[in-house]
Amino acid sequence: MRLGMVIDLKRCMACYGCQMSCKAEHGTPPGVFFARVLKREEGHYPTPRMLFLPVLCNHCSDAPCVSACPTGASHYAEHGIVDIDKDKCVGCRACMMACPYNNRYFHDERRYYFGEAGPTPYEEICSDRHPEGVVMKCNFCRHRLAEGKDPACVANCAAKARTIGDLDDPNSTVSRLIKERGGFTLHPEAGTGPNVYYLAP
Amino acid sequence: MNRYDQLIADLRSDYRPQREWGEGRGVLMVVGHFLVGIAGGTWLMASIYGVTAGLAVAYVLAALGALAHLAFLGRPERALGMMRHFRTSWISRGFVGLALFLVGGGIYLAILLVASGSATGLVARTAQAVAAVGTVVIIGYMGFCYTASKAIPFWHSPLHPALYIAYALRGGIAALLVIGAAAGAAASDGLLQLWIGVTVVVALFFALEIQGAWSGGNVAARWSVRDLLAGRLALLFYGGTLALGLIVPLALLAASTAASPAVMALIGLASAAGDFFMKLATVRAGVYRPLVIPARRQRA
Amino acid sequence: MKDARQELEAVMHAGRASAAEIREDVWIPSVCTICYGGCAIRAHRVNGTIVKIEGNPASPTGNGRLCAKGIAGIMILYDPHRLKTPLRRTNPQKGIGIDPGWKPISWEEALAETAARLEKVRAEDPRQLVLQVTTTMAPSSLLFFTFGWAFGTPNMWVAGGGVHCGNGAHAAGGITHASWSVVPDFKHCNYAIYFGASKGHGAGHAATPNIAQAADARERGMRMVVVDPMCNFAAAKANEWVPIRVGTDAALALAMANCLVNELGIYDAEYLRTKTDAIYLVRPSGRYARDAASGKPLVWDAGAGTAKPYDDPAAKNAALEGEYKVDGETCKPAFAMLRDHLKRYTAEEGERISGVPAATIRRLAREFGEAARVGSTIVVDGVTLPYRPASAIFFRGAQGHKNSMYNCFAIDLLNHIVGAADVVGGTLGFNPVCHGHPESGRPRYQPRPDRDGLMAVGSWMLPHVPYPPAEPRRPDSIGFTELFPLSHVSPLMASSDQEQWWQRFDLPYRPKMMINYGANSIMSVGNKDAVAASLKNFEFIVSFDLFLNEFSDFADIVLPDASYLEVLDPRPNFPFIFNHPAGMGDWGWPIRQPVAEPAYERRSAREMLLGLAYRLGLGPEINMAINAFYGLDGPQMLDPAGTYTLEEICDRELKHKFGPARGLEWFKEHGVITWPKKAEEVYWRPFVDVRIPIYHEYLMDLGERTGKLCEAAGMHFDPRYYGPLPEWLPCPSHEVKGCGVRPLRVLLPGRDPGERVHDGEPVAGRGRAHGPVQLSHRPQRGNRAAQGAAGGRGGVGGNLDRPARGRAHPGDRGHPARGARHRRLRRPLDRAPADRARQGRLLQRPARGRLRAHEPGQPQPRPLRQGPADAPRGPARRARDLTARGRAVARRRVTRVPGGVGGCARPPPTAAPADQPAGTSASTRSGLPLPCRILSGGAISTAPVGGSRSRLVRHCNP
Ligand SMILES: Nc1nc2c(c(=O)[nH]1)N[C@H]1C(S)=C(S)[C@@H](COP(=O)(O)OP(=O)(O)OC[C@H]3O[C@@H](n4cnc5c(=O)[nH]c(N)nc54)[C@H](O)[C@@H]3O)O[C@H]1N2
Ligand SMILES: Nc1nc2c(c(=O)[nH]1)N[C@H]1C(S)=C(S)[C@@H](COP(=O)(O)OP(=O)(O)OC[C@H]3O[C@@H](n4cnc5c(=O)[nH]c(N)nc54)[C@H](O)[C@@H]3O)O[C@H]1N2
Ligand code: SF4
Ligand code: SF4
Ligand code: SF4
Ligand code: SF4
Ligand code: SF4
Ligand SMILES: [Mo]
Repeated sequence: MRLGMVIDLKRCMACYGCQMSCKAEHGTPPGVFFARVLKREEGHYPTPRMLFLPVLCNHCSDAPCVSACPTGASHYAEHGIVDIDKDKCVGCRACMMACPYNNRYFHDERRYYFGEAGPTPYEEICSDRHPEGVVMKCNFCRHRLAEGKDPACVANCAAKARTIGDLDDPNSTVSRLIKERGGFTLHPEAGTGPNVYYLAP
Repeated sequence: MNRYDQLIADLRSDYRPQREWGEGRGVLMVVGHFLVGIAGGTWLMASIYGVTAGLAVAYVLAALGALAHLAFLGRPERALGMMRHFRTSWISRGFVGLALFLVGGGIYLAILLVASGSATGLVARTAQAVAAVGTVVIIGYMGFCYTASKAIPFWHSPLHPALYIAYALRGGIAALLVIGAAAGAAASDGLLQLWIGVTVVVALFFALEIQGAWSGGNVAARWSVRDLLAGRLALLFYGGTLALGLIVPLALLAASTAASPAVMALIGLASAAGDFFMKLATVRAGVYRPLVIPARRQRA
Repeated sequence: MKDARQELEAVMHAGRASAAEIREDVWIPSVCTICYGGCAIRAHRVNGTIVKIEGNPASPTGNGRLCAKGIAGIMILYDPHRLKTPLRRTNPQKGIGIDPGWKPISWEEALAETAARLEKVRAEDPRQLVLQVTTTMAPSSLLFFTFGWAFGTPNMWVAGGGVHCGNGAHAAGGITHASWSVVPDFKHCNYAIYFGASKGHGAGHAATPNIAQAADARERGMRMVVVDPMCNFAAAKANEWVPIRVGTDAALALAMANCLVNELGIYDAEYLRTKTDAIYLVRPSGRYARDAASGKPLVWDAGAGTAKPYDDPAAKNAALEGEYKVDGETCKPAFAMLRDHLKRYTAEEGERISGVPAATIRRLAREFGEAARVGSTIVVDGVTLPYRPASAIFFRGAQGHKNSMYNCFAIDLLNHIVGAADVVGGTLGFNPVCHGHPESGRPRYQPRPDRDGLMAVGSWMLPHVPYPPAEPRRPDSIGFTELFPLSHVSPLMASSDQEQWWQRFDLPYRPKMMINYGANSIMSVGNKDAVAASLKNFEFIVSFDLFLNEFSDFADIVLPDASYLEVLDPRPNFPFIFNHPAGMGDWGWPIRQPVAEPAYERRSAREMLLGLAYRLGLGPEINMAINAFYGLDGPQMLDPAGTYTLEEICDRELKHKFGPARGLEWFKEHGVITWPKKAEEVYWRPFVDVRIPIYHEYLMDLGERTGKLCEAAGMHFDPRYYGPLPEWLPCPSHEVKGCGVRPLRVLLPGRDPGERVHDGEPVAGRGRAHGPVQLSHRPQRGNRAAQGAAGGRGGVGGNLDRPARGRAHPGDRGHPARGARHRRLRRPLDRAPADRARQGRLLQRPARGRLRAHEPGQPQPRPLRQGPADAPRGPARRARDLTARGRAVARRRVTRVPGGVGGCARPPPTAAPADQPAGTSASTRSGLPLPCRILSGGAISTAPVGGSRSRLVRHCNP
């Protein structure tokens, strides 16, 4: 089983809900976004376009971040999920230089949203999940998957633009969508074998 | 907070310089690479030229470099774990190489010092061989660390390893020049010529790399070149790399007919400093390729 | 997945309480209120701390999914800058940025003083009390209104929300759809035109509750056109963006209507005959011809050749066209009047006014008309219904102007011409018909006809209903809504010329005391100086808020309210007229309940107001007011003599609606009650015998009477706003000259100042100034969003005549609290609009007329908070710092926000760039934004920029 996600750009309404629900789920510190929505402006008046692209770790099948990792902290977990073992990571950041998708963050020191005012009770709890000196990234919400739930960003996508499923199973929704709608991945030329697919708008 | 503002502002979606290596605590990483590179080169040159002091200096430099590396890590206490993945990771290979060098080199040096000059026993030979393997690795691996970085097109070039090897050699020669000068000996012409030769090679490789990055069609790589030659790193590049690393030594060479120890030392130091800035500048010039390349930004 | 389970333990509980130490781990259902979408939520509480807010899948509002703000609500709950205790001012001097010298006091002190003041005010004249509330709180403002009624003051208003939010849109929506607002029937609509709204998109009005439906529609292939001065989030996802000059929507819509009716001959005669006043005969005087006996409007029965009352069953085929003699006068059916009226609005005229090319206007009209499939039917849930899959909707953008109501009428007219109102695929009101829960039959309401057969709403949010309008009379309230009965609020509540009019109309009292419930009128009304001046006149202001904000500078006592996560409310959605998703699906009635205990000295304003009422001896009054507000009767009715807690009241309301078994306890556990909608409720138009006016005869009467009263008091009155047919009338603030693009200048290293820079060129500076130049073409919502989140909610994007209030996308910047409403605290004010007082007045719909003969010079906007270096510490100081920082960020950011619109915030002194001679630039010609491109932080370029598109960009641009 190879887990993958499909993001339907036709359905995405650029609400940034994924970005925030991921943040809330993982309690990531300021500046860290496992899920991001990228915005681009294109074209010229009077026919400009705004382009939105929700991105997250691609859980690459041939992940350069895993190859670059000296400790094995970055590893393939169950179902092809690429995760970081925060107890092994030495914080060398080689994986950050290797990921062509900019999906990794180095947590160098604790920071809180309200700065000098210190952590909120919520941050107090969730910041403990994030030791300093190591690299962090999306883990496909393994803890939610283990509970039989969809990842936070999928569960919360108000437009239902995100689907997660088994890419090895040709009958899964994700495989079907990719086949029927011509799913594509980002930077295929990097040869990383991403497992997050997009459907054209 | 600036750094975070920056991150938040662009959500990593633009051409943006990498900031983890070479900035803030990341400078330690460059320092480490610099010291270890010189150490490797020095060990090599010292072995060739039979300069025992050179070996010692190389060893000390490597040890310092290792410390710098450790200090750079987010979790130095787990550093031993870095040996694990040498099959795929260049960092791991480098770490293993460095360890071999430090162990083998240490034993060899110790024997050498104890036996004051002659170390021909099995242990010494083995240690020497281990150190040699380590030397080769630490000279060779660094460039590959960068080349392995797919996200940063400027680094992701096959020339990078060659360039770093050339650096190591140049660093080794520079070290020998300084060591020689410290010992009061004027450098041999051979060493100087070697320095010139390696310098030419370094310059050539560098020019090739720049040229490749510029014309290779990758906009992020061109941003890197621009940053380096005409952007935020220009001062480092022109002042540090070019002036200090090339012009000053060359001028010294040209100006002093007799290679006095002082001039030798200066040439060595300037050359080494130039190399440091060169590394710092190229590391900092790493620019990530963005995920979505906006049409109108494709021309750098 | 064994690994993952272990990981789960490690991930979730690393470094904290092991599983054994978890004393509490619950999910509590409630409702979000960060905007008035009212999405149902579930809050995850572990050992007393809220660790996650998710959507509640049990509710149709949000369907278990939230917007970025809703998820981030935790940060409102725990924001360290929230008020912690009641504060009393020590500095008697009030003014923007003047430190009130807050001193913490106890609740008892605060309430005692407030009660004493209230007693005194009530003894003198209860009308001296003004209640001000924020919009998002309005849907659940039980105690706000009931307290006002009980106390006996008519002076209640929703501050900026009232003036800018929906003054015209709500009234128009109420008159023609019996609802506060409208959405396309996403499930069936094939062609939707958005006029200044973002329903179902990104953020904005009715965004999240409709996103899934909008996404379905998009996937299904619904064509969407967005008419908007800026390419906003909705436009980003639309098939077409039609840039329009601000405030000219009526011209565009009327021109489209003209094309439909007079050029293409597309209209739904059947619908017009049976569901509108199109057949009512209009006399030369402009009034309906009426039956002498019954007073009912007459229609022309072509078969019989006589006029008959509109409801005469024989008048089925009443004439829509022609001229008929009735009582010796030549009368025309209203539709014929409309046809003639529209002839003036040719596509060319539309182009002249709105800047939308005539060819586009004709094309849009044709596409819309054809998409509507006039005459077709469809079967939904076994019921055969008219099928009109075309929709024209509007909200804040189109309505936020002086001619607000006409703009909305004109846009909505398109729907009524093709019969696409509250039928399948057309434009739906927000649930104006509900037959109630199958067991209790409650809540039950539907529109009903007035004596002319015209529609009056079945349920409304405010005591003030849009139609039929009340008789204009001499004002009794400080806002003069009695004089202008169509308005539900009035800018006179906070304008600079109020005293003059109070005198002229002999208002027998002056406002003395205010209770504010979370509105920040300094920021949201417009013209902060005028608002500030009006606030200074109050003797005493009590403000319930979460934070110290700009408004607090004028309060005497600030009370720390409980946030939406800490309060109880049996009707958070104000079922269902305000924000319940329209279209088929389920009904859902959720309650809001505390998911966390208020910390520190925070207390719920609702409970405090209830307590105050009892303390003042207003028990019977408030109990009766609550009965009236909730419609409580039978056993659930409050006893006037009783004293109730908020819990008891909520319990009664819920039992009243859903039966004795479903009181507060039931709802606390279940969170929401749902039941399926019926086709007759959603597509109610064919089933409810009401007509809506396409010919607004009542406006003429209203205008005449209001005009008389105005003239008697020397107030200039403009009758043009009281014509029966919608017009485009210019809004003076849109005619301001010199609002083109303001070139921002920046020194680029190695370049001459002002030198042209091409898109994509690197700016090679040192440090952070490095990067590619980004030329931007248009103001768009995203920029505002960024602004908002960056601390700059004022000023950029939005309407020409007022600073847009950036609807912050918290996600844009990634921090919960940064996008939330209290962000207002931090927005830089230096981009405040020029003359807000004027704007405030102009925004008032027809009723308002002109209150003042001339406009004062435009005060130079300046920052509100510019703390001196030795400003005090604490929140106020922080606010100052943040404001300054926000301003800096805004300055950085504004570089992306081009021309016409944002540029207007500060009249540009600079001439047009050399390559764009004034007069030829698109901006000066048509007033449209975006003619040129402003570069990141710099000069202007019009040079075309090449560059091939990447694969992805190609993919992503439909
Ligand atoms: N994130 C976020 N969401 C919110 C809120 C918030 O503060 N932040 N507030 C809530 C509230 S109170 C409201 S009322 C709603 C409002 O939500 P919307 O009704 O969507 O209102 P806006 O986004 O203010 O404006 C809609 C569009 O109108 C355009 N516009 C301006 N002038 C004109 C004009 O003359 N003609 C036309 N055709 N368009 C024009 C603007 O460019 C803008 O794109 O959002 C609600 N949702
Ligand atoms: N320039 C410009 N002006 C506008 C608009 C625009 O687009 N541009 N939009 C207009 C519209 S549509 C609206 S609705 C208005 C809104 O204007 P307001 O009604 O003033 O609402 P906000 O500024 O959203 O919120 C006001 C304050 O409410 C407080 N608050 C938040 N939650 C709570 C709570 O639970 N309890 C209490 N007691 N206080 C709370 C916060 O401190 C916040 O500062 O602005 C209008 N004004
Ligand atoms: S939550 Fe869904 S709709 Fe919203 S931005 Fe993310 S992918 Fe798009
Ligand atoms: S997207 Fe980046 S971090 Fe994720 S698996 Fe691929 S290379 Fe690794
Ligand atoms: S930072 Fe951690 S995860 Fe990344 S490469 Fe180094 S050890 Fe591996
Ligand atoms: S899968 Fe989970 S961790 Fe990854 S982006 Fe989505 S919410 Fe974040
Ligand atoms: S749309 Fe409004 S009510 Fe719904 S989650 Fe977002 S902020 Fe809350
Ligand atoms: Mo609003």
